[in-house]
Amino acid sequence: MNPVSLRGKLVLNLRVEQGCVASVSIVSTRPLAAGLLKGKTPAQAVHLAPLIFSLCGGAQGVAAQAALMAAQGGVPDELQLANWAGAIRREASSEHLWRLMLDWPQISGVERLEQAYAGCRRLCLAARDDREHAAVLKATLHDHVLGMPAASWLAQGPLAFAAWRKNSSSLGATLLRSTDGAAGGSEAATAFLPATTARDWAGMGAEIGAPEFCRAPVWHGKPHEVGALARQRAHPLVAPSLANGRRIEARITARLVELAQWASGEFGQARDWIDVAPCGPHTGLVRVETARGVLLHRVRVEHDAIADYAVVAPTEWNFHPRGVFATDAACISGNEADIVRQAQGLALSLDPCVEFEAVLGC
Amino acid sequence: MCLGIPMQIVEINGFNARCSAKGVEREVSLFLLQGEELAVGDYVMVHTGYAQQKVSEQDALDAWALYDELIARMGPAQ
Repeated sequence: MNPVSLRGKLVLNLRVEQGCVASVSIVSTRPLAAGLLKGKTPAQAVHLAPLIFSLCGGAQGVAAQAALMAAQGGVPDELQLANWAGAIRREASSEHLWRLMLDWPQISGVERLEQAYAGCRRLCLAARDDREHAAVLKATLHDHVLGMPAASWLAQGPLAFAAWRKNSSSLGATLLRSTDGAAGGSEAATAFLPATTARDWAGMGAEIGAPEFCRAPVWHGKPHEVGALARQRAHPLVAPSLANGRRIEARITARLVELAQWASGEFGQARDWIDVAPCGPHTGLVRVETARGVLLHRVRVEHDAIADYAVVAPTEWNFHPRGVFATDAACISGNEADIVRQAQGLALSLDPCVEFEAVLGC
Repeated sequence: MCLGIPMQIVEINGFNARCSAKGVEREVSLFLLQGEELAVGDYVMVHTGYAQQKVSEQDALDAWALYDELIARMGPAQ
């Protein structure tokens, strides 16, 4: 095989009948690579996890450290959790901004802000604490994304927000307007994953380590949507578009809300972003909220070596064969070019961590 | 899982680079790594056409040692 294509991709097959998507099948060629850590020492695993899962390498590195700590009977203190949570948010902000400043402009016919993004990403990842992170985001959102101070943007009532959305020449408002006319979402919409704790997942026992679960995870037997919208669905700036069935717009707004909150110094509790739990002999589990949604690492250590290592990534939730992409794509209609374009927008709104391709089947 | 692929820089032309891994070459944008000192022979982790992070040669070799295992498990047909 071509070694560079090892990372795999998602192929989103859309079967169209009479101008409407009749069915969706999702083919993932991504390998389950966490098992490669089996046999390594905990120190090697902490080194290798962020290296091979490098797209969200910060979150993966933190997850590996925390899960291994729990597996070896350790409990992170509050300061450790707060430091980890800060690192997770800094990486999440660079991921949200990548989507907003590079990817969405590309499919919306808007100028990509590559130069501004490169500078902001570097500063976000270099920020040493929440204060420095907030300062970087405050300037970036004001100058390039919202066109106004983040705190003022967050505090807008419905009328002011609607006026901003309609009239602002900022990137954020332009992107929201570009979603007008996009397919909404199915009536049988996929539920959002509720707030969970590591203990909740640990209670599921070894099921989480099974390859079938890692490839197609479920919560109480059903796939769920994860990510910024799942976290921010009740926010006053997000809830109205969700209530009106404009789920793609709601996902973009949810990312803007998270960024504006962090720019305004609203970071939540450390345990909103990461917590750990033991889950059996020599076994630890960590739950991390990444930009894309919940990330789980479950690891068992025996005789100072990794005996089992499983990772459940957010993309597996949103691109579950019966998950939110599959259900929402079933609402798309139009000519063939429109269908592909809308499917690409829907997929992008769900932020897969690998390349994807929407193709029409027969 | 979103695997990062370490590639070695073969040629640099402004913010673009030709990078190689296991004999396969790709055009890669170095735009996100402005401010990093990058030279031919360095290793970068690549995702969706962008170099995301500079890594040491040892890190690149460590990652490829794992990926070689993965490729061997997947077999030649995949």
